[in-house]
Amino acid sequence: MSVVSPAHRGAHATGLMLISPMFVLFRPAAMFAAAAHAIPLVGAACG
Amino acid sequence: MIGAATDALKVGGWAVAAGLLAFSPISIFFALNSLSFFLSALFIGSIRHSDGIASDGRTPPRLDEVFSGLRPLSTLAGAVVALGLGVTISAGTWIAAVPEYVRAVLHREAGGFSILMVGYAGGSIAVGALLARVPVENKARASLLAWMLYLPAYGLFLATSVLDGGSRSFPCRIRPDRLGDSPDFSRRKKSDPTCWDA
Repeated sequence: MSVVSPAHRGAHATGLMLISPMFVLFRPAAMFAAAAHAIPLVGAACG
Repeated sequence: MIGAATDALKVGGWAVAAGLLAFSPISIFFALNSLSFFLSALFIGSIRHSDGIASDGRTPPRLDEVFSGLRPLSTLAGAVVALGLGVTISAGTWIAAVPEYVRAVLHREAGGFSILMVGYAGGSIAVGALLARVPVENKARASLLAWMLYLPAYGLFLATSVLDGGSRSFPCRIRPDRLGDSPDFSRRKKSDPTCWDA
């Protein structure tokens, strides 16, 4: 738990800082499509 | 279970937020929200300090020791890395796209977003309760597989926004002319031709 909680909170903040601003450049639907593919790929790559 | 317990507490907060937004202006809502943060700070400030000494007399573990301990456990380390990357992408997408989805596709405002979040937390609580009863042999590997569920989940957001077909910003930006025109798209396109110029 000592690493999971900081990782989760840190990643959440990082997402707000790095991913959310991309909505300025890309359409929401495109972002949903990209995230729908990228997140499972992350799970597969780390396995 | 800790995540599910936190979400269980959040449900009440989101339900109250949705209720507040139903009859009070958003300025009152934000004033109450800031007051709640002030009260939280007061409560946290009242917690007694232990001067870095754990209750059993030992010093608490340092963060770098935690990473050193994870190194031989490759699957667990991979699960933590996946957690970091997965939450970065999912939270960054969620926080901007879902409010826009609620506004443009569901035609609801902040109260609708709160109700949607209650559904999100309800799912988290249900899965937490299920996992508390169903033993999982390799939890780290199972957590990696669980990230696959984002494909149908975010895919459903995308599909419903496309099926909605004519709301101003969300499907507007999908350029339905590239996805195949439908009578509904054509009708809305005629009523607001500028919509499709983005």
